[in-house]
Amino acid sequence: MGALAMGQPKYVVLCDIAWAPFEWVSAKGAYLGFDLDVMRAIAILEGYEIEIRDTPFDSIIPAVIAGKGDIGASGFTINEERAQVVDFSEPYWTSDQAIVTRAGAGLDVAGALAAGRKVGAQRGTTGAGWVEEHYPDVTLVLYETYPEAVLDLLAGRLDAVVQDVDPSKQAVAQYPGLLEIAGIIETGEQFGFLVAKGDPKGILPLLSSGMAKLKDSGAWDLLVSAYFGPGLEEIEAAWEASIDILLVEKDVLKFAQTFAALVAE
Amino acid sequence: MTLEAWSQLWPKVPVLLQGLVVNLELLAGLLSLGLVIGVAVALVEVYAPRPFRALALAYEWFFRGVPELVLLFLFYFGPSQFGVDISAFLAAVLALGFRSSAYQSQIFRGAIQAISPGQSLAARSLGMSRLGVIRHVILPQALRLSLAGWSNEFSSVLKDTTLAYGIGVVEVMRQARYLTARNFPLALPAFIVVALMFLILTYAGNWGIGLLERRLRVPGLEARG
Amino acid sequence: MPLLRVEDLHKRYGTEEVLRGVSLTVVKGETKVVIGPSGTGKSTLLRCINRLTEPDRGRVWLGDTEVTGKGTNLNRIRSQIGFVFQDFNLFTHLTALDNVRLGPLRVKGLGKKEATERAMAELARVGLADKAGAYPAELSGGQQQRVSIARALAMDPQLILFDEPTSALDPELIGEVLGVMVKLAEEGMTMIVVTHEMGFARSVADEIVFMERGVIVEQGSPEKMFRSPEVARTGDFLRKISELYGDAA
Repeated sequence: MGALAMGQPKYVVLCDIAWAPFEWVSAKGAYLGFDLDVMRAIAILEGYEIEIRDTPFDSIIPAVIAGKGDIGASGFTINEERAQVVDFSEPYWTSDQAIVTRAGAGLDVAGALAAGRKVGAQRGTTGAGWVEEHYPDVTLVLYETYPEAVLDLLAGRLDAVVQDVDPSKQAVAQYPGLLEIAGIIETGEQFGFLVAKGDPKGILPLLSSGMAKLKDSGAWDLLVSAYFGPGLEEIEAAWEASIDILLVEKDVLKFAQTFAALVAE
Repeated sequence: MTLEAWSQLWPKVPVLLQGLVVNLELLAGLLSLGLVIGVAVALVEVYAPRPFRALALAYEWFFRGVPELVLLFLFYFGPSQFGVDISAFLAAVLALGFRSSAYQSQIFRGAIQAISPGQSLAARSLGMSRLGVIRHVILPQALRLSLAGWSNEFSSVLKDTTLAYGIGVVEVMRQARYLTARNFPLALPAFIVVALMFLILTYAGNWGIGLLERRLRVPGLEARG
Repeated sequence: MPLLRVEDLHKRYGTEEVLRGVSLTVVKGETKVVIGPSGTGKSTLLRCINRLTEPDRGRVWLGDTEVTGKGTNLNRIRSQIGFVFQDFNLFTHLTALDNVRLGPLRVKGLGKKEATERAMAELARVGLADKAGAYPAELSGGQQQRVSIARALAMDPQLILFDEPTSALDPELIGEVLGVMVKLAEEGMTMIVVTHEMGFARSVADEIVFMERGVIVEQGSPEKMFRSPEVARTGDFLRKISELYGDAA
């Protein structure tokens, strides 16, 4: 194994690690999340190494273009604008946008996005672009990270925050009784991993093949069940107890099974 | 901001301190780079022939005129156009260091010009070389006179180190954001703690420089104004 | 052979020609006093001799070395010509001892012990051994000028140029500086002194040079210059200066 590893190519994976449950930093300082474990698993299945580098979200595409990284894996929605400058893998996730408001505000989607409302979103995200395009009359406030937008919502400076459904659920879970999801807009945008235009290093076929293997073996669904639903602390505990199976034993399926089983307990 | 948030944050302070160490490393790197280049630029501005002087002034103008974040991006992404891959940390040290050198050169230039030209003349009359005059007469005085201005520059660049987060350096702000991404209610206490850390560092740094200033004080050699 | 030979020096600042062909010679052990109205190029003459100011034209020799020569090691030459400034120009950040010691240490390359001994000896020579640890700002003007003389002496120069060494001093401090200079003259130091101190000129100078508007008008022994100058303007100047500064006795 060690001798084999010597000859393996190494790819730099860029990710803005502040977007649970797709990617975040555990209490012990480890990088975890759905995107990252998928990246690790595919690397093992396809025989290459990765280095995960934390990079602010709106710097990831410039960095991939500049060759500072090989793969962008950070919940990127596939869209026309981005597809002009980078190449995407096939979609791996479908997401809708959620509108989060303060609990008891009595706002539905239409109310939260009515003219004159102040709506927060993370800079460079689909949610931000979506509000800008469809609701030009609301005041859009952009934030470096999603948590900052949520804090401003709690502080009463915003009426609503637009974000993908899963991170929105995480936010609401962290402030029981203070936040609620006013509604979900079925935008149906799809996430993809991205590489430099023209895929000069031939990475996309590896991602495609790796995703197929994960899905065929059942590991994919196990990871989904582990990451989407429970609270972050439960996920972290289970992940820490099982991650060595992936990183040391390099057994993808066994890791997914153990991880999912531990989370379910 | 609840008591619970504070009690959850408390065990995380070491993580923040870990991030702060990165800020301090950045600070040490950029200040030393800025000092060396700043002194050189100031000397060129005062003593070198006109074309070099113009070059030094252009350098100063550029690095004082471009916003820090833009410099960070230029230094991080720019070199890869030429096939050179530099780390985010190194890019931050270079970008912020060059920028600081432009400010430090102003401080030193002012200090050099505050030294009476007669002293250089006297040293030259002893047969001392130009470099000898700079080393033995100009710099020992200019550096002392610069300490007050340098104290300001220290406070300013200390804060600038948090901008390195913009190109992915995992420093204290980034660590604070890791915490808040995982646990939103920690945001306010975490940023309060970060603010306190910087206030303490600024105070300690200025105190240290002040101490150095008093230690090196010579009668008759004081910064004017 | 004269120790110093100056030949036809010219210097112009913009449209003003400050030196218009000055020549003079100084032999070893001689004290030459240069007098004349202010702005007549006396200080410029001194500075052109060791090329602190670059002359436009003319030549200067120290012994058989041409100071104005192309390949001349100027720093070496300067280390052999002491210079005492009107404003002392002591190094603010150094004690009296370090001011005097800097040249021997950094220019002559002496060891620390030897340089210190020499510096202390020169400070003693100007009567300031007890002020070795004082910074310039802690010394009176007269003491500062004496330190600057010690600084020049520590280089063991072949001659010393004095550029109005007492002009910046309060009257009561002039005496101590002149005292040191008289002693140096008596010990045989070669000196060119630009000054308005007529008492000093009369009693110490081997020769007095009267300059006006960039040229030497007349030169000769104090006896001749004070008693029977050949040029009328010399006499006028000496009378006027004696009224102003007193003591032509």
